[in-house]
Amino acid sequence: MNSHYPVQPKIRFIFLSAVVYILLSGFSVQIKADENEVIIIGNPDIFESTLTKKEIRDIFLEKKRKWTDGKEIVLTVMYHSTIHETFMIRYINKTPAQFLNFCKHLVFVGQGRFPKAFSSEEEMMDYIEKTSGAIGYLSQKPPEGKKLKIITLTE
Amino acid sequence: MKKLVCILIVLFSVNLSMAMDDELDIHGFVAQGFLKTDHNNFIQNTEDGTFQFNEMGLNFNTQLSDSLLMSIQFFASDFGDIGNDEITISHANVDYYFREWLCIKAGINRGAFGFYGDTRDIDMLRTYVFLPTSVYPEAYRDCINSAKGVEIHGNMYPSLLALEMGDLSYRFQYGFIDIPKGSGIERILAKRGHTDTLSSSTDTSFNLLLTWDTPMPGLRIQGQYVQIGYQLNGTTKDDIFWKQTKEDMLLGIEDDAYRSFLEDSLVITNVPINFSGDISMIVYGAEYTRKNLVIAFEEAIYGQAFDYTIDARLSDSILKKTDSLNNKGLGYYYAASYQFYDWLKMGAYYAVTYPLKDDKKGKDNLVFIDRPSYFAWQKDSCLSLEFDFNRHSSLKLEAHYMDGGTQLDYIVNLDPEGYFDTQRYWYLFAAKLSFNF
Repeated sequence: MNSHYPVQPKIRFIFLSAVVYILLSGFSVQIKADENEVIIIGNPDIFESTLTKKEIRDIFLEKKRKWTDGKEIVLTVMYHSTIHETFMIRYINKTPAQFLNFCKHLVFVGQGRFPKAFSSEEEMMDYIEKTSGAIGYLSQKPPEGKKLKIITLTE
Repeated sequence: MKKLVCILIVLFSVNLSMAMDDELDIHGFVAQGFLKTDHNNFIQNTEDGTFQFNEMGLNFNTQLSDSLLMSIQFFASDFGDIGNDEITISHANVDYYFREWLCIKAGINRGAFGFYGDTRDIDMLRTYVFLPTSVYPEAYRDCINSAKGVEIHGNMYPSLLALEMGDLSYRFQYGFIDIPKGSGIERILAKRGHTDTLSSSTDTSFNLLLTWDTPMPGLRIQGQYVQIGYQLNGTTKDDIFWKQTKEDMLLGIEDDAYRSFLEDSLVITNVPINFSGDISMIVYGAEYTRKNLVIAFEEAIYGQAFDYTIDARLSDSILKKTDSLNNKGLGYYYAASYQFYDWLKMGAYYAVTYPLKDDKKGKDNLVFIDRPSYFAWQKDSCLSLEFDFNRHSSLKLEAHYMDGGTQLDYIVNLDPEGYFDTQRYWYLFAAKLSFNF
């Protein structure tokens, strides 16, 4: 029989030390100074003109799947962009990686669909303009002439 | 051949999804792993290293109307002699969204289990190659993965004296779990009852999961109760457990002549036995997420409450003996993970399993009479690294230091001599490559 018993307490000590280190690292992370503006936009036929931060979170976490008038909510995102990271951390309380994992989770357990993904704000605006119930976010106000609804955020 | 067919289906579907418009979503994943132990075969042949460790799935989702979401997923896996790449339907259901607080799902539904149970088939969704087996035992995988029936689920927002109390979500599943013959749970019950299985069947089951996203950002608390009706038919083994049981039965007989007659004539080994009862699971835990850091704790109590009847032989007649088998197992873990960079995440956990929570040393119970005492526990220290090459592929490397043999008993068909060929302390190394689209 092997005699590894004296090693077990050392393993526990190393594990606990690693956890403490990770905890301290986690809490010492400096919150990035984030002054990016986030404009929430939607298709003009969306009933709501204002949303709370909580409602935004519930919408993008697919807990709330329909607008007040019963239309399906269509989500849009822009992976690999600064505005996406800002939006995720500020309103969804998840990092972009956590949000992507969350979406994959919903899809592969049959509880949701991936949001529509775009690589530029122009593409996102074009899609939201023509898609009933669509919602997304921009780093600045949309240009004049775009038929988009700017949704006001309340606490 | 099955793996090749599945891979071809996945590749075909990738092209098909590109060609179709966006009404039907097609997604999939493939994961191939490698396992190696220094001692003890965790599944077959891990001492020599094995590639019998993989998963693949193909998922179809479509929004039928504003309120109706339909989803189907085909799945195949191999884990030693469990799964063997047989294609199954891991879920096939329609989800009707009535209100945020009430949604109804019908069909084959993914089993909700703990914080991470519904991701155990999907390697890319978790940090670890193996979820802590103290709460997510591999042997229970096929009885908590999916169930045919209905599910109601929703989210509510309780408040107390005008103070918001976070989000409360619930999932209630009711239906039938199709546990295949040779499943892990059948093996556990048969081992616990020292029985050779002939057949098994399940009865209706229900599952209630409550999750509270507390007002403290990042903190969620969960509690769950699962109950599955189960029957098992078999024959009693000719082993020291039943011989000892017979001796215990005869102890209470004061008449020496009658006791002597029974010693010679009563046979309770290699006779029919039937178990009927319930498997239950209580799981609770907490998870805290702050930016790139995730800390979690979960504890599970596994119950087996069965009545059994033995058709003992007494000379030329059958003597039915009825008794009960009530066991409670305990498992818990502490885990932490941290995303250092977009491409690198590290995780660690310490998981403890006791198949009998009232006998943590394996000394007193008849169950451990024919095996080393270290089968009464398993303590698993795990360290894992995940490398994300991009959104679609990742590699995990993981090391476990194990003390005890509980999970070996759950997964490997050990014969009586095999128990004493195992070692108490052993290492398990795992690597897994995953792709998804």
